[in-house]
Amino acid sequence: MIELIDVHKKYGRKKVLDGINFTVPKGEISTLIGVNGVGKTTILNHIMNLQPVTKGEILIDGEKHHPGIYDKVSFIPDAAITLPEMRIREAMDFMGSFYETWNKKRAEEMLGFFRLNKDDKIKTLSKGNVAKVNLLLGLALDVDYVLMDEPFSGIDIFTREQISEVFTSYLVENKGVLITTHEINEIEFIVDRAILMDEGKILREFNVEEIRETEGKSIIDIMRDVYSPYSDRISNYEFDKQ
Amino acid sequence: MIKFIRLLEFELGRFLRFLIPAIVLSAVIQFIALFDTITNYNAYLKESLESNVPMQQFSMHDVTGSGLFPVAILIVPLLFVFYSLFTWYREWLGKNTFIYRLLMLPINRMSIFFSKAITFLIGGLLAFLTQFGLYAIIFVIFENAIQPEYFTALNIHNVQPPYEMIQLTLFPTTSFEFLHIYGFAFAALLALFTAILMERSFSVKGAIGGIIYFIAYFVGYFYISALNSIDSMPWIIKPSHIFLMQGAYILLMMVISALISHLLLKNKVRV
Amino acid sequence: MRRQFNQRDPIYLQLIDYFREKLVSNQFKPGEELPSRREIARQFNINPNTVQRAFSEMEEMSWIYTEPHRPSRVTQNTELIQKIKKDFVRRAVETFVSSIQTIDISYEEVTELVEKELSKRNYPNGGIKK
Repeated sequence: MIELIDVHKKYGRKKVLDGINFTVPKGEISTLIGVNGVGKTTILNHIMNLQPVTKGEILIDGEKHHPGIYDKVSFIPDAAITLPEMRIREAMDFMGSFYETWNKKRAEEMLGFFRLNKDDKIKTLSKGNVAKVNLLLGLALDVDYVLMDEPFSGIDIFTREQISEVFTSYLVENKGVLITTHEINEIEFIVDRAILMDEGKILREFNVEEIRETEGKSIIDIMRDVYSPYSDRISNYEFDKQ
Repeated sequence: MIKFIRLLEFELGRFLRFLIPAIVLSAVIQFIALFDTITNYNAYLKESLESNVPMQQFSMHDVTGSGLFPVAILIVPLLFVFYSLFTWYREWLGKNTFIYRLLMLPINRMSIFFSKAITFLIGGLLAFLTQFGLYAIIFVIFENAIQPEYFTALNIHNVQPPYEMIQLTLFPTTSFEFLHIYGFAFAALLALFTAILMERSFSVKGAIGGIIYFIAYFVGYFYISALNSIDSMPWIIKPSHIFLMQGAYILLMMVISALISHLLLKNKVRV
Repeated sequence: MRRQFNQRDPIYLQLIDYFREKLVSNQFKPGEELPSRREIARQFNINPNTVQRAFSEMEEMSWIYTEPHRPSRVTQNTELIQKIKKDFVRRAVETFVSSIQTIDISYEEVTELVEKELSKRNYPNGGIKK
């Protein structure tokens, strides 16, 4: 599992993360929930050593950071990280030449699943298709853990459905998945665990089915309970669809 | 190791897309200067034959002396200066942050550093050899265009100052000097890379620290070079020893830059 | 066809309800092979772990059985199936009775209404026969 132990992050005076402790176990899908700026992306960046922590430790399967980590964890950030000049085919070859965990067969299958054309240059693709390429490049790696930052952001509804299907498919089977999202409705039925954050701290962490059984509440219900003192800030979430 | 080569190949490809057009442009301008000079010569010759004015001598000096030629020579070094910053900053700025992918590759992060640095070495060698070849070609064409009685054979260093300085720096006459000058430049490149990584790790504070580090490299070198000129020194150092000290300094600074960059890339750099 | 699960009841229980309905209405025949867990997860867009849990519970209750290297199959135990059907009807009857028990109406009138309603409907796979 991935462990975050007492992680703190300061940007000058501002405390972005204030003692974060949680784990991402294999075989489960967890989601980090919180408004923009609360530290979700920072946490993902920390796990991948794309940003240094101010204090605290992060262990992946008990190990500290080393280059081999990237054969265990794959990260799909909320940013464009492909070279626009490349064709999809070239981006795939690039991945294949550096990652032993690159699964060429699965990548080809995903091309079909997402209906992408190998020879297209990435700069010519629509936003939704770029998101799919990012997913493809991140998920075609045979790793134990997958991190995704806002996989649904700025995506049209049809692409969203395709992306949702990823979570119920063999693509994430047996992996430890951590996603951050605002789209609670998309993930309500898909996640095993939810971690609610605010102002750099974890307010609540729970197993979603368990809460349904013991309290008869959905993720959004718990969010209302936990965030109600900050009710002016939960307008980001789509409660009206409940 | 294979992965490093692959990364080097990748970086080299990206650089060549800039370098090759620059070399071609430089070559074109050099040929323009060449044919401009030949045309000039032909005009002089005609006038001399018609009006009995004595004909002057022509040499490579005339080709390289034309305003265009130094410009052509400087295109490639300027590209190097530009690219030494661009090669890093391109990964962070703009719509695509490729730095994510680079930092998430399952390789030692110094591979990124060295693949960019060695790209400069290879590119530099390529540019150097190409220019050498160009000089040879231009020389031959020119020699054949001028009547022997009006032609003076001069080498590429016999040119007007300040262009002479440029020529001696870019094309040193001894291999010793060659290693020294290009070694100095390479160590400066690594120092620049380190400064850039400092800025990328610590923002404004890092930028200041980086600039100080970069300048300190030059200060250190020139201090050593000037040791004999300082009258208060209790010793006299032979020029050959100064040369050795400079060499050692250059190597030492390469190592220090690499070590600092390693620490920054491993622990401090941010996307 | 996407069944709408609600977000407040445990999904695995809702899934078992779904299977129960299929079972008692004979849409899942005894011994029939079930779709794989992954297919079901995809069909309903739910977490495969949840599907796994539902399957485990149903195995525990002997509603399904799984031979090694083969997909799970509906039980062939017709007695058990009958029991499940009876339980299902019993619960519906309980709900029905508790919703009318305060009403002042005779037993005969109630049974007449029930019979009338039952004969009205036409079930494609048999349904309730006399």
